[in-house]
Amino acid sequence: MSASVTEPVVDPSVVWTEAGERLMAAAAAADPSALPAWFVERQAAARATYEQLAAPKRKDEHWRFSDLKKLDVSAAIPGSPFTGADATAAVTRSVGLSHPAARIVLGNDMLLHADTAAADGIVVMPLMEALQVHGELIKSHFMAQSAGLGGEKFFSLHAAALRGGVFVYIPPGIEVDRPVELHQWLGGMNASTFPHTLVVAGRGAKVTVIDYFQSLGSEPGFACGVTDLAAGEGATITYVNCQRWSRKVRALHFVSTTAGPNSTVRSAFLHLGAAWARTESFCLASGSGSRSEMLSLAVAEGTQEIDCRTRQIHDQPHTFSNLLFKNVLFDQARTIFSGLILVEEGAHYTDAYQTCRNLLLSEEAEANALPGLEINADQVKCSHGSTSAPLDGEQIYYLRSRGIRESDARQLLALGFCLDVIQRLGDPDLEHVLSSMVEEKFRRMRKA
Amino acid sequence: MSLAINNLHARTGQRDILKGLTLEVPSGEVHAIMGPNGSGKSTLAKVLAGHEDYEVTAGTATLDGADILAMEADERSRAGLFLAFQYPIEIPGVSNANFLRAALQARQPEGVELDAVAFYHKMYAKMDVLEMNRQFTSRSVNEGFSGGEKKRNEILQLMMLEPKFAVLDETDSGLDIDALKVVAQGVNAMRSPERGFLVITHYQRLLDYIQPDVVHVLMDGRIVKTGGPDLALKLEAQGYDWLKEEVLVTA
Ligand SMILES: Nc1ncnc2c1ncn2[C@@H]1O[C@H](COP(=O)(O)OP(=O)(O)O)[C@@H](O)[C@H]1O
Ligand SMILES: [Mg+2]
Repeated sequence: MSASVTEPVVDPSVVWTEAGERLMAAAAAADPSALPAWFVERQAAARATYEQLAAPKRKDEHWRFSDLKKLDVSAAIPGSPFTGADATAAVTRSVGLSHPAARIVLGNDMLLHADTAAADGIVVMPLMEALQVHGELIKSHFMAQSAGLGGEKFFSLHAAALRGGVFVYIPPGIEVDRPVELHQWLGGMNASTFPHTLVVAGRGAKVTVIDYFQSLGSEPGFACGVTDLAAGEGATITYVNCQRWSRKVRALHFVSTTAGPNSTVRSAFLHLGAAWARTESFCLASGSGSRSEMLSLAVAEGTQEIDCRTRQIHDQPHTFSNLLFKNVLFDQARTIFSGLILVEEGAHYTDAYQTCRNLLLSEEAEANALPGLEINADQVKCSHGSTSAPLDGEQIYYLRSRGIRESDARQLLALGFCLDVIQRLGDPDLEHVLSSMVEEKFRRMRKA
Repeated sequence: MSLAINNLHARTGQRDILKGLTLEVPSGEVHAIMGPNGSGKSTLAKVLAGHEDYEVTAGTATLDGADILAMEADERSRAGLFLAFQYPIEIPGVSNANFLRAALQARQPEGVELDAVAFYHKMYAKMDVLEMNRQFTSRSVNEGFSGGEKKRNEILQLMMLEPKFAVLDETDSGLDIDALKVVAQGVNAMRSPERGFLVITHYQRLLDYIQPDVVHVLMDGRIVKTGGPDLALKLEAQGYDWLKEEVLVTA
């Protein structure tokens, strides 16, 4: 035996095994009689898959550039229900747009508040409750496809540990003119959350859903969420996710979009919080005439790492997809964009575009981009590209020539870089809410 | 009170562009600078406005006695100097209104917020003078603007910032006659005993609408001749060749 004392080497797979057991236990303890059999089976299968799959390694193709050391879950525990002052605080702090069609507030995946009075004819309810009433509808959309972007182990973890979430269903022909707002809170030391948002829009239906992810305090935590968007024929879904976890949270999120014939699906991610956040987005243009737009904006500072992996899949002719991911990097922040457009055989007349733009505001920041394109059909219009650049000197000068101080000029331009993404949502009220969040982050950073 | 430039030498890279330029614009006066392409007119404007491409190697420039060459570009603006650029650049994502607000906010004392209502009133009033559509307030600065719209936007900034001295660099180029009249109207509305103008132009045409008190001719980095408004007419009719000869004779 060696006498030397060395740092204990923690095997990541052991960490994940132990963390998984802790996190899945809470869901496994739920009363199975209150849930549809398929769901109980699905969770059990997910548990098995989770245990079977290896923890990711940096060498894996889908984890290139990712700093896996930052995804430390050794201390993660299931979140406890919010009580007393915490519950009240979460509800009062759940402020988004004025007069939403519906507002749901969850704390560590448990319902704190539901205001669905104005949601006439639509379904907005906690997922576990919805499973009992709309089980069959949920079954056909629930985590129907894995993005295949490297996070399968965590995708399974989500399915197995899930005990909260929200189901939004818009029946055919109904257009909801005000957004549905979901506030999903995380609170408590090392607490974990498994936010789940399933949006199903029937034929010709229309809805906007805004998902706010926030931490009650500044403790470390773990979030592993899923969003599924299913647009029926001619339906329109706009989904906005504001990720504002505390700066000590590690977060993974899986988004999958299925765009039916002539449907329009827009998803936008605003990454402001978390120490480490990874999003795997998958969009399937499965219906002729469908249009899907994927947007993302990350403002990363300090040692934040924002990792976005995307896949745009076209398997029917005459479909359109457009992706714009932008990152603003300060300090030693890191971002990763890895995207693939895949045009399957027979998906002729596909229009698919992909752009990643990085604004480097520090020489120590690091933006990685891996754009990709695979075309197996004819008459296709595709493009992809990525740029990384600091602010334009002539633009800074122009602002300064009008008396604006250099630091203000830089901030104004950085904000301008961000607004471009937000404005694509085409909703001035929403634009105001989202840009205020970005501005607030900039302000906080300047004070620090 | 004046904008006084004395023996100014400036270069970019290895190349000397201004070679001992001297000129003084007293408050209340409008001076025109005319000169052939490439003579250094825009360079003079940008040197005054603190553009980093240019290095001043000798000479002085003062605004009401204050050494502007010692100031940062933004300080010069707050000290009361304004340059309407020959080629205004586009700033995607920053709305015209936010841009102007930031410029006015920068002039407020520490901790004092700009009065937003008064700001919009003022901006709309100025835009009316310039016959600018209100939609320009929410559009990104100069993005997708036509040449003429960009020039109007420069004059809007001039009217909002109310500088002590304004340098207008070929504000007339790219404008049709109607737009030129509108822009001139904006500039003329700004003329006052407290404010001086240095109007750079290639054509005499602008000076029909903005009448100068003094006309200078800039050639090869120096002022080679100074006269009254009639000098502009003579240049229009005869070009610059006669001056080149005159300069050669006296040199
Ligand atoms: N940034 C620059 N880099 C290199 N050359 C320049 C630059 N700015 C001006 N010049 C040169 O200096 C001369 C004067 O230019 P400019 O001041 O723009 O003239 P004008 O405005 O009178 O037409 C020209 O020959 C031009 O090419
Ligand atoms: Mg010029």
